[in-house]
Amino acid sequence: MIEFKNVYKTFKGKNDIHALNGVSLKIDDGLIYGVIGYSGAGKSTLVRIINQLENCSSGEVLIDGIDQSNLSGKQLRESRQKIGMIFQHFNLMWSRTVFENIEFPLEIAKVKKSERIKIVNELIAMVGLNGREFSYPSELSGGQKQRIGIARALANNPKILLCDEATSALDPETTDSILQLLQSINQKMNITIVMITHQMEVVQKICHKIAVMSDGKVVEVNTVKELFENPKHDVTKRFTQNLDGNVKIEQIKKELKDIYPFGQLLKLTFTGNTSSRPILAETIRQCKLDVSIVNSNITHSIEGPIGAMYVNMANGDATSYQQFIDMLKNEGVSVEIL
Amino acid sequence: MIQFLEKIDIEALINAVNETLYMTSISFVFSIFIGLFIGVLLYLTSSDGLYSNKIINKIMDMIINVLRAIPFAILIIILFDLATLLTGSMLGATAALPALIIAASPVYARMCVIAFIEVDKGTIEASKSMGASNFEIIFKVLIPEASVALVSSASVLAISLISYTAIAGVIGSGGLGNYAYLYGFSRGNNAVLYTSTFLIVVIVFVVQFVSDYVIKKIDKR
Ligand SMILES: Nc1ncnc2c1ncn2[C@@H]1O[C@H](COP(=O)(O)OP(=O)(O)OP(=O)(O)O)[C@@H](O)[C@H]1O
Ligand SMILES: [Mg+2]
Repeated sequence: MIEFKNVYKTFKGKNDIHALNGVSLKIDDGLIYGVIGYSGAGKSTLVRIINQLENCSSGEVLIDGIDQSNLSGKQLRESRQKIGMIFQHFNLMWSRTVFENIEFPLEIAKVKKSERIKIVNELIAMVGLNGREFSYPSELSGGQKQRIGIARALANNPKILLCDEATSALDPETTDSILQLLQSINQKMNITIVMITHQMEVVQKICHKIAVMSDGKVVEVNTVKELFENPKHDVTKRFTQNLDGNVKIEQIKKELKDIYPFGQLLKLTFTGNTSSRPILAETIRQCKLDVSIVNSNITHSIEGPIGAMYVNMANGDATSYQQFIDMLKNEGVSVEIL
Repeated sequence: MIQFLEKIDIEALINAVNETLYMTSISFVFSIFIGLFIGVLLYLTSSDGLYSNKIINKIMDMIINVLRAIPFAILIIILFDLATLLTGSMLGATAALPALIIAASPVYARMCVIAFIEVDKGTIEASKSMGASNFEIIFKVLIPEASVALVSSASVLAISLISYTAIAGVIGSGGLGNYAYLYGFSRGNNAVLYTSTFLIVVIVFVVQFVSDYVIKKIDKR
């Protein structure tokens, strides 16, 4: 278990920057734990404190009960070997081949050469880079580079995998494939994964639990489903509604109203407990309304489809509108009339 | 052509080439190692280095700047005097070595620091996150990742050293510079002067060629 106890981090300078302002958080073993927040919220600082790339100004960070900030140099290096980390820009060594990059952490851990070869080959197969062992990173695509990063991070059989914006430099499809890989690693190897991102789509797909950060504090912690059903903090609301952090929700409503002056505008929120039947299509067919989808941002999480959809219904009367809304509500979709 | 060649003492010429190669290669090897060592120290003690230490960094920085500020022609005169005091002998290729090394090492140290600064901070951080010690970071990450810049700087250094040996030669330490000056220029023997110059240019070209080849081999960026 990773445990933050009232952690503060201040970067001293001309103007001191308070990157973390009293974070307390428990991350249970075996989870995929998301940390989401806007730029500057302190996410990277939080995760870098776990493996002590940054030390905290006050408070404690415990891994399985051991305070990481009190370790000696040697103990810290050993502890780090059991915490893998992957990065937004991969941070591979250009001077080493794929094979040698993955071998690096094993050299650090003083693993015998014959053993190293065996482990590296297994890892290469696991991340699907067979045949590219002797290529150099510069010859590979971003997704492939991140696969090397993942293999490298797993080489010493870590208990924890830290991912700092690991998919932010990748296109949506590659992002999905990397997320799937991380998910299968979590399941097969029972590794705790801490995923930092500013993209809700990323955490909502695979995370069991999400911490929302704002201004150096954790403002809300919950499952994906609960965060979508019951967002409490403003930042959470902005993320679950998938709007840009700086745009007011009211503003968006007004804009949609301007574009669709006729009919009734609805916001449908799917929170994962809906069935896998094509609910929307069935409902539209039964109500015989003209329903157009204005905007949709639905993704599939471990708990089913999650996200918000804006639809506009037209060519009906108040009763048929109400009927449409009721039917959707019955299916577990929450409906908001705009 | 025959007449031209007749004016050259082939044996003396070969000897001069050997002396130039000897001075250049010995001083090159020493200044590469000393320069690399000082460069690593400078990098480590810099403000965001692994062993940040302002005082040591400033002192080394100053020594390097002073050494680099002294023109080579003057440095070698000073050190010739010193060498004479120490060994009693004045001339010869070996006598030039201390001056060559002292002049070239700081230059290479500076180039090393520039090469190290260009190494991706993220790569260093990644190796830290994997539990690498500072020693491992230096030898397994920093130097290999800076290798292209280190090799190309080394070729610049080698070429500077060749011209330094020529200056040292004029003052009396042997080599092609000495041969060109003493037997060519002083005695009005143009054949010797131009042949020596030509050979120096050839050596420089060979160095450049080798360095380009090595860089092409190792650059996988
Ligand atoms: N080494 C540092 N020195 C000074 N200030 C820093 C340092 N690292 C981070 N900060 C500051 O701390 C605050 C939090 O930074 P952090 O990198 O943790 O944010 P983040 O949530 O990861 O943002 P992003 O999504 O942009 O990566 C920011 O205001 C940042 O400028
Ligand atoms: Mg960050």
